[in-house]
Amino acid sequence: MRRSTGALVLVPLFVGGVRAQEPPAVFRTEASYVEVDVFVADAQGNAVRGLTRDEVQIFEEGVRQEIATFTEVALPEDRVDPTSGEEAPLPPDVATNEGELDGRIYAIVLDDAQTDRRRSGPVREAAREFITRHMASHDVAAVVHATAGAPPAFTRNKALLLESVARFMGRKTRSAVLERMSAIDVQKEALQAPADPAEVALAPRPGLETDPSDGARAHDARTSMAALERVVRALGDVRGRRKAILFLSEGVDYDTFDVGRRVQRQAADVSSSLQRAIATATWNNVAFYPIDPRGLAARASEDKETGAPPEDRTLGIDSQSLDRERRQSQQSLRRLATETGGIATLDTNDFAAAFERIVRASSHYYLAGYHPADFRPDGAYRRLEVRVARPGVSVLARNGYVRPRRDDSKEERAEVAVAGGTSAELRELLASAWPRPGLTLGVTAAVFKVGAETATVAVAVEVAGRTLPFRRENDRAVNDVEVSLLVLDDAGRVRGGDRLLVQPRLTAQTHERVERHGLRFVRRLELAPGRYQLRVAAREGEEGRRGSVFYDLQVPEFGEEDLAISGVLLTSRAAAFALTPSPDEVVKALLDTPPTAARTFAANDVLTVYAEVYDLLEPAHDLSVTTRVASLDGREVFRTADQRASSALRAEGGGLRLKVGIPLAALSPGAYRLRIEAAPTVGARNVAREVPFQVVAHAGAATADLPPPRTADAGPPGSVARSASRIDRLEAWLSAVEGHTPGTADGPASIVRSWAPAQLVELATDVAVTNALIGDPDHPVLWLVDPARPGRPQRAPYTLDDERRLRGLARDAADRCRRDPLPKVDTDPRRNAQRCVNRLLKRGAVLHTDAAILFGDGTARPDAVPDARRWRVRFTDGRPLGTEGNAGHMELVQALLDNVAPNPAADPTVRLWYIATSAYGQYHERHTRHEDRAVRIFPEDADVQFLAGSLHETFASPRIQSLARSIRLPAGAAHGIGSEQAELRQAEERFRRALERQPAFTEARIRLGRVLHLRGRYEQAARELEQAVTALSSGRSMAADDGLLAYYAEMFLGAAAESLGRREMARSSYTRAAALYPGAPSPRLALSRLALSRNDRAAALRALREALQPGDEDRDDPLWRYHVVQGRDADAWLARLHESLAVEP
Amino acid sequence: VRHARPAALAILLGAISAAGGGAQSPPTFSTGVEAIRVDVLVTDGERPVPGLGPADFEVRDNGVVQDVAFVTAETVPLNVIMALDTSGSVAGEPLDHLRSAGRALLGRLQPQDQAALITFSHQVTLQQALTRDFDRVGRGLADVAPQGETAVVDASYAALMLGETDVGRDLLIVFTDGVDTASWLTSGQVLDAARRADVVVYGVAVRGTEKPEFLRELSRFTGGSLLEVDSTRDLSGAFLRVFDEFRQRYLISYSPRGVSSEGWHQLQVTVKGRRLTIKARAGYVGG
Repeated sequence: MRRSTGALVLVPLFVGGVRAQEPPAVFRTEASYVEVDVFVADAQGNAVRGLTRDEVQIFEEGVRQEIATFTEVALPEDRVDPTSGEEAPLPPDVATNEGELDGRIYAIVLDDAQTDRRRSGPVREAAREFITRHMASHDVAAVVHATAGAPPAFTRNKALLLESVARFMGRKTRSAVLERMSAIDVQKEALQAPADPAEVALAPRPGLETDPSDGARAHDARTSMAALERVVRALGDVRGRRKAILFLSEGVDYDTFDVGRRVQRQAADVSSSLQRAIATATWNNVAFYPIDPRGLAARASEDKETGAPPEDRTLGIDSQSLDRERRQSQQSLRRLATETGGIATLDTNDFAAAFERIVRASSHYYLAGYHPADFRPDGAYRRLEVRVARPGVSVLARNGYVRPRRDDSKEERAEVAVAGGTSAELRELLASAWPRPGLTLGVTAAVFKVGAETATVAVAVEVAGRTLPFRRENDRAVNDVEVSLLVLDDAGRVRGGDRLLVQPRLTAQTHERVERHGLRFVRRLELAPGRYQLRVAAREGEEGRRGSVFYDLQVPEFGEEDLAISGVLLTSRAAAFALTPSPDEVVKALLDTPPTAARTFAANDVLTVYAEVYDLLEPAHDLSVTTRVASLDGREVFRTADQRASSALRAEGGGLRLKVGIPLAALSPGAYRLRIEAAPTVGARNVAREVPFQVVAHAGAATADLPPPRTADAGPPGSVARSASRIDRLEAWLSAVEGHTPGTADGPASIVRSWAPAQLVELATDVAVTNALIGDPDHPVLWLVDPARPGRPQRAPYTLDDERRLRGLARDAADRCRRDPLPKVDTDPRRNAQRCVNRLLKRGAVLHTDAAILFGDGTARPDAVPDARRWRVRFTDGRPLGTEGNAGHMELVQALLDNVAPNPAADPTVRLWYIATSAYGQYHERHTRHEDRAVRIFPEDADVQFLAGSLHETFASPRIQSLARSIRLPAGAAHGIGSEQAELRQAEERFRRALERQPAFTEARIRLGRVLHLRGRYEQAARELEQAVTALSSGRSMAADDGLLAYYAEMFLGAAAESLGRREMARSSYTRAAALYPGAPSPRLALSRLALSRNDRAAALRALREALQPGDEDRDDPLWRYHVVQGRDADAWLARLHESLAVEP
Repeated sequence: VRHARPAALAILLGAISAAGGGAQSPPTFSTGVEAIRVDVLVTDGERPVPGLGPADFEVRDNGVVQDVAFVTAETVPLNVIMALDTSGSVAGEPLDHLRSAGRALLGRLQPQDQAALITFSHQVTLQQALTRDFDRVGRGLADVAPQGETAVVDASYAALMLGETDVGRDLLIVFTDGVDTASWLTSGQVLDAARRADVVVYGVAVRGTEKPEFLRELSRFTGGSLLEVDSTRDLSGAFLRVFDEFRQRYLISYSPRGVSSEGWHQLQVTVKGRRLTIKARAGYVGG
């Protein structure tokens, strides 16, 4: 028997349920689809609306094309963010891809490589004007510096764009004419000065082949063109939109017509980079709008620098040279525009008019697409002509396009290092410069101070339930959802990432919750101060929908400020309904429930807000923190204030943790601003954060749908409802313990199996309290003492009514013990109570063990909130398939058995439980990993030591080592698997201990021999294995299945002998192993290899053929199950465990 | 193992004469003399360099310059062995991609070529020995059901041994999407076997967290190379790239002179007077 998958409990890790296979990728656009956007203007330059498909004709190389798609796009030119209202725009703290493409798309390329330093100011001013005055709130833009090489980061956040613009500085190399003029001046001076005639002769001959900056200039030109090409490719992913690149540049300063290459030797290279930029743009339907910042003042600055040029035609230079050079550079700008359907703005200082034109052309246009009949990816240029059948209109469209070559797209596809395991579909989205609509996502992030140099970022990602399809499978709604996060810094370098794969299997009720409230992921990232773009992509497996969102993130330098405020996290009663598998526990704990990316709330909802204020100001002072909600017209609708002394804050590490509940019932529907402001009584500066949100009318949603408020600020405590169900659960558990038949998947086992890990954790406390009450009916229950911190009792989570019920349940349990028909062991009431408690604990242990084992894989209910402390990773063939919440049954059992009195180590049932479940876990590769714990409790037990040794030996194998290297862990988590050598060391120690207790334990000896061989101690290995072989052949072994063990012993002895160079001994061992299992390939492979090493190729081939074609027998090789075979007696151990309950109630 | 095969070369010469010999001058060979064959890829940057003849190559056997007797390329029939990972991890779409890649490769073969198929999970199976009936090889690929773990080391050993023939040039393509989790043989043992073989191995691996070091070494030892693909979707392209590159290799033959016949022979192949990149096996085991 061979198993292909296993599961292994890990200490950490994410989320429930996963699938090994990824759905097929949906790759982007059709290769042969040509999209043309057409701007049609009337005589006044206004856009012509209402054209139909029949009125537009597209000709490719003179042949009319059949238009397959035709759309009129009309975007309002003045859009206003509804949440920004009358006040200055407040950037939203949530990014979403809902309606992502409803604005214009601009890339602003600032060509520092080809802009003179002295014109940096005009370029910055022009770009600033465009962003502040001509970009509407829903437009998206990126600012790209040509020489920066960073990928474009598109955003709606104008502050970010302006910040990038402010960093612009031109660095153009001096032009060829200016260089030549300088060279002439130098030579003139040399000729006038009395100098060594030889030096004069060596001076460069000006104006011809000597141009010291030729290489630099060519490089600048290629850099600019490459930047354009890069931005075009980033925009290429966007279809169905006009894409405009504003190119602020003085143009290609290189004489590409200098075909003789007498002066400008790289004309061909520069020319082809220009051509490539144009070709890429035409194929990707991107229009260039070059703007020459020299405007009308172009000549003046050069004249100032150089004075009048010499009129010397023999030097190829005259008064017109600078003009010619400028015209030539402008020619490149003209080409960029005309060949891509854009407009060049040259020789004018009126940029505003140009910007108007660009906005107009990007706002009202027609998108026409067709499939050319003769499409071939051959890199050929195709001439386009667009005609419109209306008199008096002008048409602006690109006048041709260059077909891609077959491999273009593949070669140029951007690659980014995403979190391991991320599917190709999401990798594509994350590598794109552009967020995608489809699967609707919302993302928010809040930054908190960790230290002076680091910050932690709480990230909430929400998948809208309405866009998430499910299929029905056995009354469950099933799908799988993959989410991948990527953090890029402002240079485009990857600074972090994470990936989650969940497979919700939802009951009807939970499904409805997800449909209404969505699916949420909450993660935490550690980042240094700086500017980042957080890219989040998600896909679902059912219909292959996917989407991505980009979030601009600024991590402040908290260390620089004496007073600072963190980001703001929000949640609400309704938001708590979103299914949040495995939220980051630290983030979740801040608000009691996970934060939400929703910013629209119903009027019957209650918000909870969390923020931190960091106050290191001196001297001692008071800090007042105000939380205020106001409508956009400034009307305050909520205010609360908190005042603290700085000394009190200092005692808490200088931070104030603010959590405020805000009932929305008093707010009328509309847009609001939440403002948290900290005002110290020293210093002149306050700090504040603002978050915009919307309140909508409560659309008849039943109040009962909302979960009870969780925070003290947000309403009355919810403990009554929660603890009532908790006592109900305890009652159900006590009755399941009594009703369960050990070893059967009966009703009671089924009931406890459905409980969530968090409920099992609560149950452990409740059972402990019950047991205390059985021992002492007057035991106080309103305080609980953690044995680890006895000095800090905690208030018990019970009401007075709970306490009354608890005492009743304990009394009933004690009565049942007294009614037990088995003979009493003692008349002492204390010992009888202890016996009663032990019985409850051990029966409970078996109940949960059966629930975990007999109902499948022992993993958590998929829709349950998993126990964050432990996770289970499923794997096959050395690779993780994914992780899921651990059910928590085995952990509960351990907690129960720890309380068996007087000493669990002396209890045979406890011992049997550890051995049986270890054997079961190893045999079925569902490692529960309590072997080491068992060793601590039962250090003298050979079986316990053997199973612990086997587990470590298995963990040293390539399949688990490879798994350990592949698992991605969240920060601070560990999988607990040691290195190969560390695991082998542990294994050796355990096997030696087992053999000390039980020298005839042959299986332990064989495993010890193998481990020694793997540790390179061949002599010792051979000795142990020979001893095992002898024991087995002499019948001195205590093992029942000697043939199997003999096979292992012979194979491992053969390997040890080979390592020692004892080929004949190895051959004998392998031959005996081959005889024991005639269908096993491994000994035959070993024999073949041995034959080859002595150059007997014929014998090697013979043995190999036997290994591959062993005749009619079904091939079976015990080595294939070596990693599980140590647990083959699991069923027998489990039967003994069940029996032990009967004889020892 | 591979080098002393007068009979085989006689058959080979016959095949070349029948094909007209191409542009090469007719090779001469004295039968009965041990001949060493070295499969060589010559590239200038990324591009293979065509049109080289015996006079262009310099071969050093343990440092001793040899007379290159014979250089040929396209006219020699190929023996293509595919050793393909069919462990549980290729179930589903990756297996479809693998089948397509196998079929694409078979489609490139000429009638005089041969193909064989070995599949492996934890268990290595000879699906089809070398044959000119490519349909049978294709059927072997269609029938596999992916399951189990990965024994790429055992499978490579089997493929090296079974693939090596006396006629034609031997190309072994080993594909795996993971690391070895189940082999009995060690990678060192199989690399040692590769030193004794005259098979050019091209490894094809899916890029992942684990580095395919064994395949990289095996490819390097035998003068082939390792191709890492991002996804099994790229397998067809990778297989065809391997095949096309292999087609552009030269088969150099020489009769060793001035060196002892025993032991390990270090080989050094260069193209005279040009700085080109050469890929060839590192040496061979004599005796």
